Amino acid sequence: MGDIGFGSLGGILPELIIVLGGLLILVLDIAQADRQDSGRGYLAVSVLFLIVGLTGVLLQIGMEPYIVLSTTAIDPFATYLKLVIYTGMILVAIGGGSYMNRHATGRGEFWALFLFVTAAMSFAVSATNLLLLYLSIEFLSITSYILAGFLRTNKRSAEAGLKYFLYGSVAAAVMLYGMSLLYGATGSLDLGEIAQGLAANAEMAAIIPAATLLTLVGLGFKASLAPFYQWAPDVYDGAPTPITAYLSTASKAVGFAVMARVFVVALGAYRVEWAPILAGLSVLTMTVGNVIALRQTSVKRMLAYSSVAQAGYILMGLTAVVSSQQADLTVLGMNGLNGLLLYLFAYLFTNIGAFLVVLAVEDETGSTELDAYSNLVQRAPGMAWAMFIFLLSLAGIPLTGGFVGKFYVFGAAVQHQYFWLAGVGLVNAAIAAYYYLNVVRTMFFASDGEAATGRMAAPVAIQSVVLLCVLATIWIGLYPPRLLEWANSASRQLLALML
Amino acid sequence: MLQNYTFVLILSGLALLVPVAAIVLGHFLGPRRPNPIKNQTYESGVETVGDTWVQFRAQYYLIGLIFLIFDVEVIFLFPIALAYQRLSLFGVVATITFVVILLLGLLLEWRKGALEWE
Repeated sequence: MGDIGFGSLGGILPELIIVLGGLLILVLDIAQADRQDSGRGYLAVSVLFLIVGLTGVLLQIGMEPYIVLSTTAIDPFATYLKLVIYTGMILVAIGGGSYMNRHATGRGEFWALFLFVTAAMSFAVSATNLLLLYLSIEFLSITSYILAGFLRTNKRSAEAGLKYFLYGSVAAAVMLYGMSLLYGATGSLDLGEIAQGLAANAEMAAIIPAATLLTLVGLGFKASLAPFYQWAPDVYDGAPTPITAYLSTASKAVGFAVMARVFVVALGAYRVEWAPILAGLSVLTMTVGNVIALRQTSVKRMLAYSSVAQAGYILMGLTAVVSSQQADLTVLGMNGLNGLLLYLFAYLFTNIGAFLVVLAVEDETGSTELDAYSNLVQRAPGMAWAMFIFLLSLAGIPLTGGFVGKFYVFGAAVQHQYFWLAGVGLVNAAIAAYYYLNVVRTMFFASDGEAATGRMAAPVAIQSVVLLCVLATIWIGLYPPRLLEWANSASRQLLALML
Repeated sequence: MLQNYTFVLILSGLALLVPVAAIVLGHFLGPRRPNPIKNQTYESGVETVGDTWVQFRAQYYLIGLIFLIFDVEVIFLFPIALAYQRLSLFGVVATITFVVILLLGLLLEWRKGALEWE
């Protein structure tokens, strides 16, 4: 514990900047409590601080991995995910900020919470200590409950907040029990020391299945995996659309990142045991998500179920980490984990873009139903074509980001002899293409022309963020070598920690 | 080491068995002669007043939460006060930051009117 001092704060500087930004907004809000302002200033301050935080994270790229304050790892894996998180939050803030400013009552509180939730996610992906891990996940959860129910006068939003809270508190309690079993078995909260303790004490093996399953409940809840996904559709559907955009991307990425770190670093020695469980969950998640998504008439709710299904594909990457020989893991081109990381990055731009199009349509027509999208190509050609590309990417068509992600997780599954898993995944991808393309059909070829009256004017902020998301989706689809190398180094570094 | 948990298991079994046995035996062996006075809700020997479904103000929970936060803060401050002589400058600054952030929260609640009882 001797390394605690002012110098060690340098490692968590991006997070500190974000927290300071949140506090600054709180102070600004205190300074003018009697008047409701437009919230534009808060939006600008938030984006500014997020960009400064992102710059801080960019400066940490390529650093040798090290641990600050004995609990936080500054390593390529964490840096990669922080980049995903900060990028996502900036996109959401710019694209969805003015919507929240128009509809929310406490604007200062909203933007302060928005920055705090970013800091919480940022801490969660680099935590190497069960205590900090739990604290940051709880921090993330509690702020997310409030944000999901932020539009208090809107019944759906309040319902989303309450449902998220009820499910989340149970999941957190169960996860805490699993963590306490791990601590009881090894006497340490540090993930690396837990792995060593388990290796040194073979008779503790009896407690591992229980501890693993219980921890999986809490982390699977965050990532919306199948038996713990029930909250996801209602919350994604009911929450304000900008909040849904980050809950289904950045927050989900955190769930997967923490799961990967706990399972690979602390429970790596038992990967032969947990991989089949994850494979089962993966199949269940993608099938349930896709089958229910088929029957949805609301595009927002369809995207919510599709987000559950995508979690199943992403989990395939973590399943494929299992291998008989340690040496193989680091040399393989597809180690599963890099597929997971690439998928998360591509999915971020695609899904945020798709939800922003939903937001623009919702703003114009007041509806998220499929009918509101009929002949969208005549009313807003840009939005329709952008949505087309996002849906192609979600379906995994080549030359889009979604294809690269799917290619890497399916490839990893095949390479590690999980043929049945890849097979089920392919069937699911085919089912998913049906309901994604159904939206495309409605947008481009709807027969009734009555809805096609007048042009739809989307705000410039949404248009520019959607354009950015389209460009990023296509850019990732073109196999950028820099991104691949980056995901590779991040995954190799984490896998090297596996005992 | 896992064998130590055998006793926990035995004790949990006993803990479950004894009350169940008491309730079941009481059910079969005890005499039962109910009358209206016996059937009244027991409230520390005092006669029941009013309805049980009293509504609490939502504000009560708000004040309760604020109290809880500062209660926990005090618990954190005790060990710091105890080890104050051996604290480094970093520790002092960290403590002050912790308290200042919570004070900021209190200020926010005050300004937003959460402390006014309406």
